[in-house]
Amino acid sequence: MALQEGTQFYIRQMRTMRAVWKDFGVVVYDTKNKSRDDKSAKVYSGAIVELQWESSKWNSATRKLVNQSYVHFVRLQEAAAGPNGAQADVLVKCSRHFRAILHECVLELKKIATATDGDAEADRESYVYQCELFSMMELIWHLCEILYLEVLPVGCLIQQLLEWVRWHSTPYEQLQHDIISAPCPEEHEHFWHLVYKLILQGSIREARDVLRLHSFAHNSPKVFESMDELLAKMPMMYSSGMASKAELLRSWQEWRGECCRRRDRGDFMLVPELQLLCQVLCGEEDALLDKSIVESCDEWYELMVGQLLFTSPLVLSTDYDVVATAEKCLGVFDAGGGAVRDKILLSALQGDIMNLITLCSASISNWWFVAHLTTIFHHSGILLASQLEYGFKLSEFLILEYASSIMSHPSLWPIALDYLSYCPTQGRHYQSMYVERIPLTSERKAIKVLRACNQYQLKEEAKTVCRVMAMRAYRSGRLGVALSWSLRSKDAAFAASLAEKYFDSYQSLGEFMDLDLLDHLGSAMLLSNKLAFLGKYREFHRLYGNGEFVAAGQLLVQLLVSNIVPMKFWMTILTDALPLLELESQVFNTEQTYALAHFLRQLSPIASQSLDHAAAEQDTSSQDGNNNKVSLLWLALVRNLSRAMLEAAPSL
Amino acid sequence: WAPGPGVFVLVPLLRMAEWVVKYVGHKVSKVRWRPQLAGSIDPSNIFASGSWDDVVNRVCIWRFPATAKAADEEGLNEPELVCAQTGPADIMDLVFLNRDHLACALSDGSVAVFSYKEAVGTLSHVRDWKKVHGQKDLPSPCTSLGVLAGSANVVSGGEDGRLNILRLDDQRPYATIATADSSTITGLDCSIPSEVLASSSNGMLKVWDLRKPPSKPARILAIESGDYTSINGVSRHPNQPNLVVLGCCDGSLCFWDLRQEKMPASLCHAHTLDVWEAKFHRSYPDQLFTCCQDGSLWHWDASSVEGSGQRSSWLSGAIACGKVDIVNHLPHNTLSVNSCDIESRHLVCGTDGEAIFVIMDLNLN
Repeated sequence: MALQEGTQFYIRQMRTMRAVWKDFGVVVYDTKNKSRDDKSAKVYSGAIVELQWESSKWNSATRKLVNQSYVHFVRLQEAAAGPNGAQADVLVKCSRHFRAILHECVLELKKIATATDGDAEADRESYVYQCELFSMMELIWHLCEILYLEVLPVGCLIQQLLEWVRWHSTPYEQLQHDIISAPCPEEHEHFWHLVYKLILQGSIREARDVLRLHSFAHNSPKVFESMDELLAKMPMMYSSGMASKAELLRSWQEWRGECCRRRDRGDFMLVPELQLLCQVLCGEEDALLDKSIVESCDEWYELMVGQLLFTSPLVLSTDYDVVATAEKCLGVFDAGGGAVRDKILLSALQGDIMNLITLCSASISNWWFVAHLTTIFHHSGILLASQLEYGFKLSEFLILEYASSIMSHPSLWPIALDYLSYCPTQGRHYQSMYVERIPLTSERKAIKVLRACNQYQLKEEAKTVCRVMAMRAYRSGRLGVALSWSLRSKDAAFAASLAEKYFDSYQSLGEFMDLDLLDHLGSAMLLSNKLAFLGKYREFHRLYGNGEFVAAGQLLVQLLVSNIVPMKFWMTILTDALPLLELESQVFNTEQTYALAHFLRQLSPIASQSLDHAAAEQDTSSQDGNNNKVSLLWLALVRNLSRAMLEAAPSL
Repeated sequence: WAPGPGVFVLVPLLRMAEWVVKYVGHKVSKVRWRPQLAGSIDPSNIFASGSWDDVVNRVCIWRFPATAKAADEEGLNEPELVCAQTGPADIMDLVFLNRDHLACALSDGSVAVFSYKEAVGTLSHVRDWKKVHGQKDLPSPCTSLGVLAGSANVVSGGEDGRLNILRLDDQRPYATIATADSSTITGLDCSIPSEVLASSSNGMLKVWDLRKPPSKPARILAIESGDYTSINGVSRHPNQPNLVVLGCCDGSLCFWDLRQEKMPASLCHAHTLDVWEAKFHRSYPDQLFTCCQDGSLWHWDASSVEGSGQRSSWLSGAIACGKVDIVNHLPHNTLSVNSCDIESRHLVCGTDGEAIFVIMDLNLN
């Protein structure tokens, strides 16, 4: 982890450093208190430094890479889960999509790198480095696609390899332009290098065009015409894959025979470079390793493919020829040490998949490449074929690592969760731990996290999200929001405790908060008894306010009788009944009055008990008040009973 | 009204609507077309997008179709980035006050206004109302904005249940309804002068009359279905102002005739997950667009549904029964479509997959 200077300075000042994990980083702090004497430490002690891994790898190009490849990853998994598994053509198409996305990423990084102004030199360097890394990834991926995924008819491998070399080699257009515009093209020091390069890359037509620029082409045409004819008749270039192996072999051997004849005849003695070229066309070993040929190649694999083109063009990916040529060319080009990239390419050519994946994992600093490549390999069955019985475990492991790496960005959690869902053994465990650590910064985000929990059947975590949001709302005094979260998760226990809080606030304030919510609870109030009680109680108040006293009274009695009223609220309910009892017009009939009396009687022993304790308690006034209320209630009840009995009695 | 599950069969696209996707490197929370020049028939070619849930969030202005020069360079007909402004807070909502001013609702409880200068192609900060939502030391996100009809004043609603009326020339809110709602205000519609419709996450739609002192709402309408329902957004029919459509958190769409308070005219269980936005086309109100958490973007075409007399076809029971043509313009998308907007023939939408899709040349009757 590279630290900026300022950060290093803070850390160096710390005498006793401690660190704590946080999200995807570490918080480092100093535990020693600043001493009074040490004036210099005054400014710096107490600093908290937060460090994060890999924060520089995220830019718009890599974000695009992650998002676009996610889409194709999902499609691949869907295809693989189908009845016949993933067919070869689907795999190849998928691989090409990934490669296209990689290429787009490389171009984007180049654009960003050039657009970065001169001040941000460190940034630009990191972009350039990333650009090179991704280009290398594209190179390796392309080769793997050709060798392992493409189902190629005979003779097509060489064309694919030539295509591979052409796509990834440094562009020669500028050089070509220079040569064409030079007054005397063949005097240009790189003229013949360009010709050899084009020949080795299989760009025959372009090579012929360049050759025609040679002044000798006009003066002594026969030599150049002869070469031109040979090049024009070269087979293996536009094979449509329809011809059989025998036919292809025959036509190639015929052509090579003609090349050898012209070489031996001495057609090209006048121009030694053309002689060398003809020897190359004949596939002579010494010619292919000649100094000027080697110099015209930028990379060893250019030379390798060029050699294969002229020595064994019908090669198959499993032929030993390929590896032997590769090793030879590597030896010629060996800059010393053997770069990792070359080792990886060699493993690919050797068919050593395990080594390939190991080297890639070790050397490429992001998990994107190995995770996606291994997934494609896994679905194509190559891992099984290479006797990697634990192949599926390997691909799962790599996807886990990749998902973990994208967790480091706060935005990419939906994608990380979805990748984890494709890991059958360990994914769920990771998901449940991860989802609890996603910060819930707004209600909308919490809802999205909740939907993700539901999608992956993380029921406990879903409940946790709702509880967290409900508690947060409750602490900031927003009971309505808290209630809505507990309704969302059907959390009866929390809803019940919130209902109690509402009731407590009613008792202390004398009026309800959040009337709009209580009035429109609807059937959601059935979640909990206490909530239902709250809703019905509010309804009672509404009915009372509207003057519908009989209905209000009925509701009150129903509430008590249905047992949903907690005992501590009975007094309040009965007190509410008092004005109804004292009304001119009768509200309660005999049964209802008896019911009310029954509840009051149950309360009274408690009331009388509290009389005994009254001596011990200071607060005698409220006890008196209570007693007052009880006696008032008894009086009102008795009066109402008498009235009701009279009403009910048949008229005389 | 039929609360049962509707049978919604998606019509397969006979002619693939052409679309363009641009991966923008941030999750898109809102997209809005810039209003057309009054009286012009040229469709708007500028839209704004806001990002969310990122370390640095941005408001971007895009041009679509791109200028010829940009299209040549890229080789594609992608939306072209004109300018952007950045900030740490999520963009929760975005509205164009007029052709030159853009207001953003931010997750730190503020509302910011930017001015877009077409000639130079820049977006500059004009006005900030800081922390108008939430308590002083604990701001809560401002979740929705509305433009008061006939003026450039902004109404903002937030997670604290407060409604603010903000004027461009005044630093402090012009008016505040502190206890507008007991839960989060999720959507606002102010297309009728002096009337504000506010939807909440408790399943309620409140109608506020700004001519009277706003101590309580003029009306409260509530969806009282069995399960808990939260409304994510509200949108009025352009020709019939009493008809509103509400997108709900369980994927249902509620069509309400405001003259009837008791219950909605129809409740369609259309999508499977939250409907984030539902809006009518301004010029072709038989076309409705809904975008959903499950990644679908539906285009509802009610032009073949018979309305009964005065009632609009949207209120008829046929819609609830699924007898309406629906096309999903993003059949392969899996990440949530957070927002969509349509001005003339191009439908633009933004997703959690960090992509902006533009579906071009829609077939509108």
